[in-house]
Amino acid sequence: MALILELRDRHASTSWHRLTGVAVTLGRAFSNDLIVDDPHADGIHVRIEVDPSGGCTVTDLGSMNGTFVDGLRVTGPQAVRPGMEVVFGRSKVWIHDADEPVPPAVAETAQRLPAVARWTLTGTGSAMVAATVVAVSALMGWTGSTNRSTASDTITAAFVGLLFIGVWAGIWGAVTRGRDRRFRFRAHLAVVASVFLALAVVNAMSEWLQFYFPGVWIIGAVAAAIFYAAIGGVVVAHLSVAGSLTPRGRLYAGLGVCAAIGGLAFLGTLGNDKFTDVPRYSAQLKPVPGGFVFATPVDDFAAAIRETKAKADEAAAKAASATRQ
Amino acid sequence: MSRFRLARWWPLLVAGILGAQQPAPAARDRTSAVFNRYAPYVVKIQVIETGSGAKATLGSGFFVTPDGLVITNYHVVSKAITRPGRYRVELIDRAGQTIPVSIAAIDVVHDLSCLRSGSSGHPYFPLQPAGISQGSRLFSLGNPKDLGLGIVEGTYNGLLEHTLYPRIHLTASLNPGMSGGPTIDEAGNVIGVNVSTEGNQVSFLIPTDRVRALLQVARGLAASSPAPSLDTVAAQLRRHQAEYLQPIFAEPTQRLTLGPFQVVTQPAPFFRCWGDVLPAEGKPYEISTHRCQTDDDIYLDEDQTTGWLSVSYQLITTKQMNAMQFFSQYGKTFGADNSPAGIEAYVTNWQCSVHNVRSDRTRMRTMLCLRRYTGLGELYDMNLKAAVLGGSGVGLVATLNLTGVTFDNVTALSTRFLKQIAWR
Repeated sequence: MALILELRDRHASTSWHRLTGVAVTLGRAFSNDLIVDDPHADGIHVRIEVDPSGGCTVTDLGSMNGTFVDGLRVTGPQAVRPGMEVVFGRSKVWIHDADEPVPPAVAETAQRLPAVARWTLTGTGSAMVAATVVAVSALMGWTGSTNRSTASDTITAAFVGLLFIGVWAGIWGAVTRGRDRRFRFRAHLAVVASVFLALAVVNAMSEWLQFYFPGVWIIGAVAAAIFYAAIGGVVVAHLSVAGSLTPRGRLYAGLGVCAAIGGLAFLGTLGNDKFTDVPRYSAQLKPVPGGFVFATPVDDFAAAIRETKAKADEAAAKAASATRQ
Repeated sequence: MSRFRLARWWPLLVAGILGAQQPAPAARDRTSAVFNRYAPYVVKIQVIETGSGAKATLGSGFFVTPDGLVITNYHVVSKAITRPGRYRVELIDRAGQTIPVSIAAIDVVHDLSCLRSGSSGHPYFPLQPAGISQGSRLFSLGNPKDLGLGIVEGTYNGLLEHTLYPRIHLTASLNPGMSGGPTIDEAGNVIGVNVSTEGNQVSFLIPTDRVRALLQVARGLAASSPAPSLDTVAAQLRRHQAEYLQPIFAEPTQRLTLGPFQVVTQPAPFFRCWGDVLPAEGKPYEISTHRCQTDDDIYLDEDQTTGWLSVSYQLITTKQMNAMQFFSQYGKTFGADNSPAGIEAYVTNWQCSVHNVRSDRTRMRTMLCLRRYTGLGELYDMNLKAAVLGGSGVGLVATLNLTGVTFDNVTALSTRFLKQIAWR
């Protein structure tokens, strides 16, 4: 029955050694079997030996700072079993059974994803993803074009869309390369493209809902909330792709970015109280046959605008009290 | 069309008042005689900022009673009404004497005010009615800034037709500073009070019958009566809008066909209407505009007027754009700002709400913006816009602007306005 010695030095770098029945000495001196670079360890500090029955003994060789097993200083030869911690200086030693079972290998991240996601990481897949973003951007540019030549608006929109996701994915890839130096560009591209497309859908839905239900402010609020959540979410997704930070760290990073952007937006609305003689409202119109729009009868219009009067009165009262002060 | 009030305090070029027209020698003698005879009746009015002693407004006025009541415009002394603590009013007579005055009565709607000087012994205009005919020669007196009393000859060209606020059209080069001065005939009858100019010898006077009405009010007040305030202004505006808004849109005067739509134009005789088409070059759509506006307005402050209305229609058509593109442009036209201007001292921010409204066979996206005057009671400005929905390659944006109206009139007029927009 063989024993394995796990040595962790003061830099937290770990090495494993097979104990073959001969005693090994550990210390700073080069004459030791295992040399540790530890100023708090003696030249020859401790001896570890295995007896024929498989037991392990630790003997302190007269060191200045001593040797400790599970926190207790050893005086004479001390038996050590797997699981006990031997400390000398700033270095630590554990004994392992060579037959100790180890957990199975972890599958690569990519192999754990659903098939669709794996496909976006292939050459064809990522090209299709980019093409979808280009197509959607082009469509948005085309439907919003009010110039004689719709072609230039369409092409510009397509180009801007592609450039945006390309640069965004590239920056994330470069910044999170980490120690394994892998760019993971396709994965980052897939992430930003899917969020882009999702937000485009949410935006279109929000516009149409606000067209059908103009008084319902909650539609805009929900759309804004989804937008900010998406910003936080995309940060978490990029960090996960790169394997940066811990899962909790990524979550905090996402929440932090979401809160920061949301906070800035909120600060922006604080300026709404400033005086302006230009009205602020959404002038969105949608091409719908008149019959399909729910509408207030014109005779009820007067009642419908009472709320606006109340707001105007409130604003006047506030202004009057402000000048009085 | 820009209209300059005559009491401006910016420095301006006054090109030879006396030399601008070159009358015949005999006529020049007449002008000199009029000037010499009536100059003592006319005064310079100054509004002084009490803190710094600086002159905030300059204008003119004239005596109308033996006990020293003076007539001038409201806009000359408006600062002393809106901020009574910070401004005071004084006049300088022909002899150079400075006399402090108080404001006895105002008529905001007709831009007149009556000041109490308490100083007797000045010659005054009795303001009796006088006959006048088109083409008669008239003389305007007043004080262009710091240049002393001046006289300008002009021609009477009748009462303006179709205006809400009565005005006499005078062909003369009136200059800022002459606001509130009298325009008289050769016999010394006051025909009108100088109020504004459009340049190019097109100037306007307030007819004397309004002045008589105000003087009547002022005479009825004791010297110790409280000076008019913003509450007075508010009450006058409220009474005024109750009267003139009655007929608007109630009985359709003229119908107008714009593309597939039918709308009402010329809502009352005192509107001026005109139309225009935006050139179609370089654009895949075309916009035809038809607009009606009341000609004049009520002065509240240098950058704040009220008491005017406008109606406008913009017909948008396209042959090239598809539905999404067309509605994208339609939305931009719907969102373009055409609301009344305003300043923080008088009005709040706009409060807007959007509704889908249906009237008979027509469905419209309407946007109503409302703002209230601060310190003038319950008076509002309104900017109402309606975009007709359901058209294919055609749309109509209809706008109604109201200023200085009560909420009842806001609801009444907006409902009437929306009801008369229809498909043919």
